[in-house]
Amino acid sequence: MRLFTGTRKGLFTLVGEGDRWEVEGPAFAGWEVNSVDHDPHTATTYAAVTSATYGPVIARRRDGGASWEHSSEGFTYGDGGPELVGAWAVKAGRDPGLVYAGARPAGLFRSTDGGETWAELAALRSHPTSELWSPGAAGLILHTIVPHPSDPQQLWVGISAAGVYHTADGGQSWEPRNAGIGAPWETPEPPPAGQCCHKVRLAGGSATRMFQQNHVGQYRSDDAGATWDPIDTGLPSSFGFPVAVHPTDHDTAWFLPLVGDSRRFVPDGQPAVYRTRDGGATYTRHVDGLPASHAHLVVLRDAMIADADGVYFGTSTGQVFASHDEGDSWSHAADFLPPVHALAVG
Amino acid sequence: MSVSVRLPRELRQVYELPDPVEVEGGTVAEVIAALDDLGPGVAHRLVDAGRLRRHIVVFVGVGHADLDTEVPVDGDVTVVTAVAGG
Repeated sequence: MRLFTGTRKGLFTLVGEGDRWEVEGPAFAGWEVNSVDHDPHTATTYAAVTSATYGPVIARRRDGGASWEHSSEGFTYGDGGPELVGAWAVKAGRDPGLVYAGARPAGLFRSTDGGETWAELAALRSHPTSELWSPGAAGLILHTIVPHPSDPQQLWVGISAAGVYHTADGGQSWEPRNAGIGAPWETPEPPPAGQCCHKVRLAGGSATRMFQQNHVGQYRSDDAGATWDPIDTGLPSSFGFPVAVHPTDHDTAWFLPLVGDSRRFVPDGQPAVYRTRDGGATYTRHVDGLPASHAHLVVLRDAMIADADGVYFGTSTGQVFASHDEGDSWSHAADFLPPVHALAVG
Repeated sequence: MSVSVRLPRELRQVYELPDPVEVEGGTVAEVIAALDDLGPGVAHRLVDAGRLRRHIVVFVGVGHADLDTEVPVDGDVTVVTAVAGG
């Protein structure tokens, strides 16, 4: 199997067989890779790649292809718009050749030709509630794109700090879906938008259940994001970046809480993965195979994922850990990489 | 009768361009458009939102330039990047 590993300084590919892993790369050495996605239908891997100097591109490589290609034709807000300074999300859609990309400053782009050309879905950025958006520590970024499992017209996005938005018409119109989540730095009462969504995922096998790691807590929605309920009881902190979901069981998810807000590393220097098997009502804590102490690391929003074969997370200190028993125990897949920003299986 | 363009090595490698690049163009914008004909996409690495990217600096001869700056026949254009990071 391959574990695509986006880092602050390039894209590595971990090739694994059991607990043996080999590291290939980096591609785009020195460039930041914040999101990776592999589309099995077209056998294509996409990466959101950003050069601090030369700006963002969406890169792609066909399986078996010799090299990465990239294009940013149309990946711009135009001559009158703000400069596009980052690529933060990439996600293949349900139709062949359909790809979405998220940017900094926050906006959503769509390609229908496999990433060759791009066009902004501008209704999101011009939504009336966009006046409530404000940049987080990484800037105003659209970092998460969640296609509906069966309806190609439906899509959710996560923006920091704007919250979750949903479209039911292919991006022509949007509504914020943040009810139940606060943004205390904005107003005492929860606003319609402006929430600091760190990561949002659709639960496995579901079109309505979602899990969210927000700046202010862990949440679950059972109505496709229309309303959210806190599920932080039993977790050591409400703060964190990632949430991973089981591919088929809508009750199972993994969180990796951090000490909030200014410290932003794991509690007590001991990384621990918290798994729920009941939709967030209870959690079990898992540390087997993880550093026991003095590991003041961070796991970022796209750096923890799960699929049918395993659960994986990458750290700000360059390690990648893998679990093949749904998080009960962990082993090293890689070490001494640049800070890990994103993982994808393909 | 062409303009000689010096590009950062990283860009030359990505877009497989020689050093220097010889193109035609009467302004910096025209020179960059001509570069894009040789290396499709390279213009967007230098320009977005109708202006040079924030960490790109262009000289015509020894003078600071922007997209409207005129480039003399047989002139020299040098693209320099900010140095930062960690």
